[in-house]
Amino acid sequence: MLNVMIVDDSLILRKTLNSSFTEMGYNVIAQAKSGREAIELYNKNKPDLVTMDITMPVMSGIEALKAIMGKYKDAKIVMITSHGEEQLVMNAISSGAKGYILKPVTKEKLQEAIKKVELLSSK
Amino acid sequence: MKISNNDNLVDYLKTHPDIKSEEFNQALIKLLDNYEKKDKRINKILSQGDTQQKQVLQLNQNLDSLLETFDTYVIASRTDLKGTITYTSKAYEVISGYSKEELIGHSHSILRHPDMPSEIFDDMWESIRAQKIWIGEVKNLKKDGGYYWVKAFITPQYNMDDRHIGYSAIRLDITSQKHAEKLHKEVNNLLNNAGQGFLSFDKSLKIKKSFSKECLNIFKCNDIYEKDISILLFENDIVKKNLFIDGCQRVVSCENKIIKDMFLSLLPKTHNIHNIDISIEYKLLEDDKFMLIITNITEKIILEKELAYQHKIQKMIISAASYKNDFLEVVEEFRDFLSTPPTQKIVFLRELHTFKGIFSQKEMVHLPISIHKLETTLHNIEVENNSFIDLIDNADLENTLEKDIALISTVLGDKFFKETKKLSINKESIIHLELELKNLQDTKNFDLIPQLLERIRKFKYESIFDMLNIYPIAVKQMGQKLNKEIYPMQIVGDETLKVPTFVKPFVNSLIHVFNNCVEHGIEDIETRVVNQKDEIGQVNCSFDKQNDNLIIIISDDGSGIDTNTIRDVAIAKRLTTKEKFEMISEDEKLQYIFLDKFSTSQNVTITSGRGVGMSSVKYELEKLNGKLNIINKIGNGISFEFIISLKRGE
Repeated sequence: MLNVMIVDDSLILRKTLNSSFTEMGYNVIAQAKSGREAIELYNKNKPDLVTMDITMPVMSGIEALKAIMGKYKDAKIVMITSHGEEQLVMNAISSGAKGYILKPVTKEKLQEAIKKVELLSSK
Repeated sequence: MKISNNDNLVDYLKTHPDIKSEEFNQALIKLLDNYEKKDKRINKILSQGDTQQKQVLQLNQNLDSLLETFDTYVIASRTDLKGTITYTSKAYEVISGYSKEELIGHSHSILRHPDMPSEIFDDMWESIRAQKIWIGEVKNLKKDGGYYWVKAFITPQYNMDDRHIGYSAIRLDITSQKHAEKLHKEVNNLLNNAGQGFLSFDKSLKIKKSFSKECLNIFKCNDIYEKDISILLFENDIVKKNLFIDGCQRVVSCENKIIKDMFLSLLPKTHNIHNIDISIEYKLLEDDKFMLIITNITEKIILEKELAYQHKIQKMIISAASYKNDFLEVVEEFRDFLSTPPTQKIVFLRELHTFKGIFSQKEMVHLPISIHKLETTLHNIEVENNSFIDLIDNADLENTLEKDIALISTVLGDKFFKETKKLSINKESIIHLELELKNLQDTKNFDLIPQLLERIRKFKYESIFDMLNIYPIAVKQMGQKLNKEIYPMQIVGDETLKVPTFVKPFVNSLIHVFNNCVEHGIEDIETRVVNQKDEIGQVNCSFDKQNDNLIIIISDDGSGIDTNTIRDVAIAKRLTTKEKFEMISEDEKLQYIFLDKFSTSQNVTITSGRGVGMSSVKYELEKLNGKLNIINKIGNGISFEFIISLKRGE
């Protein structure tokens, strides 16, 4: 079973993602509220997949992504984004993010994104 | 290779049976000429005697093989001066479907296709009769009814004595070329008439030569070839332009197809250019070339707006039809209000604000917006009491009201607004009243009159339940607008209880209390979960009659009001000082929310934040000499208890 970490400052989004992942048969191993927490929890849990919000207080998703990718080059991180963040998403992908999901997050979008992550890692 | 002599040509034709080039055509014509000359030479040699027979035979052999090749690959024919066929090659038989026998002796015109205009043949005859070479593209009819296209070269033919005896023609099969041309034209036509802009460019961002006509309409220029697409599209939007340029660069410089597609999907998808709304679709072609499909979606957007507008109108009509009496009354009250507006600005603003709340809740399409604009003007401009009336006249709210009413009338009919309000009185009451009046007539006991009058007045009383029952929908709508989940509100109280209509303006002003409960009382879901409260909020409303008092209680289970916030706002708005505020009781502190211009909200929206709402409630309450108790539980909600005396002379 795939271990997933959710990184989002919004409680509602964490809850939505949590129930979606659980329904899809994934194991939500950790939830982080900021980029800094994400780095700590990644070190501790080494999840197979991370969903990372871009705009968060304390430390943004982009910074956290860069920090995690710097240490674990095989990390699989999918960015959760809003309209108007296209440039940030491009930077994230260039920095190693394995995809992005435009809010609102749905189970279909999650499945689509996970499929792409798998395709990218199989190469 | 250069085709220069006959031997070479034979070899070349054998290895390249499908060759079609201008060079080749010229060579063939030369070949035909040579053939004529050799023919003459052979005859000459033959006439010179047997000694050179060997040489002649050799020459003949060469000629035969040359002729065979010619026969097989060259679509050739000869005619006499009138155009009657005298010779055809095998290749001619193959392409036309006719046999030599069927062709020779017949006019060339049997191959003429009805699609060919006769002017072409007139031109041809004119040329060749003048003994000039004629070259042209001709569509011919096959024996089976099909067709083929050839490029024909017709030259005059001479006999040994150089007398003009007919015409010689060779042709190139250009059927597939014509097909390709036709296809190309069709595709172009399709692209040009699709109403979409198609164009392509490479990493230099310079537009390639082929693009559809619509591109010129979209970009409003005569030519876009070689122009920079990023400037054409996003000249007026530096953020989008940079995103576009950066995105294209990233697409080109990355190897992985999935990642390329990810970058592609992040490029700007919609834009407004020269007042046209466009959608942009990106496709990656081979060699990192980009293709853009630009669609004018202006009409689609207009249509969507129109649809949304129609939807709003529909909601307004449903609301009007569902609460007809209520609707008609409010309209009537508003007309009265406009014809004799309160002379004091502050009073005017309070009442206007209540109307805005009611009309928003009634889903009126135009009126709340116009009222909001007038409010903004009146709040922003310091005007004297007597001149603000001019501003009201300018706002022309009557017209806006009539506009909305006209929209309703088109569906519900004019009758909807003409019917007067009906009261329902049961028969027994009327009979009872009639008896008492008769009794009065008989006994002449005038002391009974006040009692009778009171009875008649009571007929006009209305159900307080019905008056309040417009608010469950208002609360629901407000919750949806603010993304807050709220349990359906129920009005709790005796549905048969009827009250004098003088309470109506006050009941109408309660919209502000409900709005306040939803907007400022109920927390967002996140906060509620953190505070371990039910995710779904509650707003409650109940009423009761005790002695001659009507009691209405409105409460929520939200955050309650933090008096520190009230203190900060009150001090910021110079309504009090810190010292003074600390001295007063909790109850008095809470009364600040009913003051004019008091709002803890940062933003003025169409529904709240002006700080007029709650003061309107207070104002209406005071007109009725009513009382208000507030029970404020920080973190657990607030209750407003309104007590109104129903005893009042009318």
